[in-house]
Amino acid sequence: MKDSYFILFLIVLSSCEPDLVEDNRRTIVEVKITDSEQEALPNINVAYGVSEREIFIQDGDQINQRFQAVLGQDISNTSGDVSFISLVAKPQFNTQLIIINAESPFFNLVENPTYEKIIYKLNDAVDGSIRLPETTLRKKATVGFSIERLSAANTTLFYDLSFKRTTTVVDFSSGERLEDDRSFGELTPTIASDSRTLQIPQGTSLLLTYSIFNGQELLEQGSEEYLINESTENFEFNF
Amino acid sequence: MNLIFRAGIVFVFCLSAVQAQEQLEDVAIDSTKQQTHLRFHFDLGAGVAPQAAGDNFIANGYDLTTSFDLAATFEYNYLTFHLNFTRYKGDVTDPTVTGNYTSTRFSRSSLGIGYPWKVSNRFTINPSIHYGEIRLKSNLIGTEELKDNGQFIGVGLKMIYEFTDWFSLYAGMSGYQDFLRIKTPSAIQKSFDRALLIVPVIGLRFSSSKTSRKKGEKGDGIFTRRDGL
Repeated sequence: MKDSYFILFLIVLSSCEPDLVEDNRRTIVEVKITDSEQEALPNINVAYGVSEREIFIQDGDQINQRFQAVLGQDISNTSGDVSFISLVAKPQFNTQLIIINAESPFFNLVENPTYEKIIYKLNDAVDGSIRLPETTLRKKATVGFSIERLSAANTTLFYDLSFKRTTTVVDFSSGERLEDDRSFGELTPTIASDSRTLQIPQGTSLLLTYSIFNGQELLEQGSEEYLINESTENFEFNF
Repeated sequence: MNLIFRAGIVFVFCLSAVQAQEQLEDVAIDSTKQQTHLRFHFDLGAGVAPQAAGDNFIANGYDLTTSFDLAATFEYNYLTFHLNFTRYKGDVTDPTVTGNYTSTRFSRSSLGIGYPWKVSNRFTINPSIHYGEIRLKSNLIGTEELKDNGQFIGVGLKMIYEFTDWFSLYAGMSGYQDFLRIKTPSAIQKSFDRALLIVPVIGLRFSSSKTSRKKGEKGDGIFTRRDGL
């Protein structure tokens, strides 16, 4: 008898599986991908997927969760064009994403590690075709940043670093971009140095804002801007 | 589940056909004006290497496998009435034209009417036309399924060779014009509206005994069509 209840429970449970896609529906996704020189960028994957939950970017530019399903995908051709037929997500799945340069071992998506990632977030149900604006991918740079203490040992340095992410979330409807990130740090009298390695798009800059205190007394404050032009950059700040 | 349901329909159809045959036999015996010819066939066949034609998502995006066919045919007064079920699978070769899934199960169920043209005592050609429903089930991930459907008209041509009264082999062709219900943006609608499929078919036919009655005949007056016509 208990087995019957268990089987019934399993049947009820399985019937509660969400239906992700609309039956008898398809759409088309189109986008052109270029690099910073406006040259066509081939061999970049584009994936349209859905998730039940909201998306956010974790440290290191990793997406916090996997796709529940990839509804359509393709790779850009030599002209940088991508055009593929996709399934259509049901309206309740309010996190619909089109990722350019996506990565997902589960869905066989391999990113090009040289370039940044752009995520278009669609809040509304798809009605008609999805034509994304021409999308430029910047090359990534690996930036080493270090701080060395040369001044008296009693001082304390508070700093923050502002830079662009290599994963950018764009609201498809409004065009609003979420790409800025900040990294905070503090060198107390017992700490002589600090260093970080960051992934930042080339052609952007790294802004250091700092304040130096001696106890409660503010000795100095200011900012330094470092331009990111090469694939590997190393900067040092001494105080 | 669907297969069981359809098998049930075939069973009910068979029973109905047998009952109808008995009733019509009685009518024929009593009639002085009508001539009836009654027979029931059950076909078990395969569609070998189905070929999708045209510029549509099935022709451009699938590799179709051999189909499995079941058919019940009721032969009455030189017309054939058909109830057909066909099932086959398509492996997706280009998901950029279908949507992102790997395979689809196609199921067809239809009703049809045909004319059996008896070329010789043992050889019959049976052209027919059909109308029915097509269902496409595609697996995404886990238990997630995409369901598409539509209607179709079909034409069939079977060449049937009778080895015995109850057993025959057949070969022929079937063609299906699908009218799918898939909605898309207008730029690609044409690719999803219609699909044409051509299928060479082979199979086995199991038949009920032949029964024909002529004007005024009763009792032992049963004779076969081959003998009598």
